[in-house]
Amino acid sequence: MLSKRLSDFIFLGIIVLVIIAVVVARFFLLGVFDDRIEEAKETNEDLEIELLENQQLISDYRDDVLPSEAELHRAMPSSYSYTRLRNKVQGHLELEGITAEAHRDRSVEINENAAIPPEAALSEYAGPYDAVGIRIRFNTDDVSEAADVVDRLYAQDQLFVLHSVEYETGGTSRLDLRFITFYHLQE
Amino acid sequence: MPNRHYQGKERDTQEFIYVDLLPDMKRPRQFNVNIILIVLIAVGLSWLIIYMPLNTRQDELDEVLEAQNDLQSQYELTEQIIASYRLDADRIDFMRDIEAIDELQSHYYDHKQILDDTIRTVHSDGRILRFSYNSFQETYTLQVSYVREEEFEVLEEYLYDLDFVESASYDSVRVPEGPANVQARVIVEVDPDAE
Repeated sequence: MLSKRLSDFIFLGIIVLVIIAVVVARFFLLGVFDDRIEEAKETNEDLEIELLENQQLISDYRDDVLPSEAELHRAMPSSYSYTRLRNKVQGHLELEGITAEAHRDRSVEINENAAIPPEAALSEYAGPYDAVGIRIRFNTDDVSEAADVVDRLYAQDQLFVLHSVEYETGGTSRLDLRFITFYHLQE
Repeated sequence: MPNRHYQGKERDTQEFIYVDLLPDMKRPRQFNVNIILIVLIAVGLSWLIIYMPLNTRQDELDEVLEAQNDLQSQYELTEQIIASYRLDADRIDFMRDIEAIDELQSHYYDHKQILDDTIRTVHSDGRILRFSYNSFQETYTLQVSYVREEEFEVLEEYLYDLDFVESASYDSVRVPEGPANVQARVIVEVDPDAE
């Protein structure tokens, strides 16, 4: 037979165990519920954003005729070719009178992994699209040729964005122009 | 010890021994009361600290899930409308990106005017030996030569007076030997949006 003292001790022990079990169960169950609520709220927020985007899309473009894929790919080509890009740039330089004559010392370099500093607004587009750098150098005494080259490339359907211009006078005056162009390559 | 009972021949024809095998002990009634108490405490405590808040949470979850259903229905409806108008979201995003890059492209023309103004300012008295323009950093660096060193200060003051110039400074004034002009590097930081 259990002594009264031991029986009381067991009783109190069981009470304490019950309290502990209930408290643990509380935190576990409420934790599970809180997680589910949080998850559902996050899903709702995402849905709300997507819904707003869709509503915005409908109100903005419901009555518009969207340009075709082909038109858009004229601004950002879907296929890249080093030779084609280089020839295109050289062709435009020729049209501006910047020829391949020796005294011009013209060069066109293509960098397929153009780095855009993260602080530049343009860097936002370097992720989703392929940025290609173009460096054009030639000798000239006429600094306005820089603006002519920029104007000509800017007049093209394909997007060329001026990165930098450097002009150095001295023994031989030389212009150094850098551009960035983008490609939307198809898988 | 079990209880034993004996019944003799005189009373009855058959004789037998009755043995009570149950132990002779007091049942601890207190123990049963304790169990009931434990169950009551467990139930009461569970109701108070589990069921009550859980019930509130369940209501909250139901509310959130109900809202989710509404949103999902609305979203599906807008998707159907988009499909009916043949609006291609990917193409629209692509078009928007092209427009944004196009805007950044034309930003150069704001700079071009500033650059021309700066060059014209320098050219009035001095000579530009080198200039560089970086559209990403919105900075121009000019290497200028003047006849007199004091003219750099005049240029700096003049540049400061221009609205679009955020800062202008010159450094490394170099005085070459002989009759050549003094030279310095002038760094101009601009804000094309400044009024």
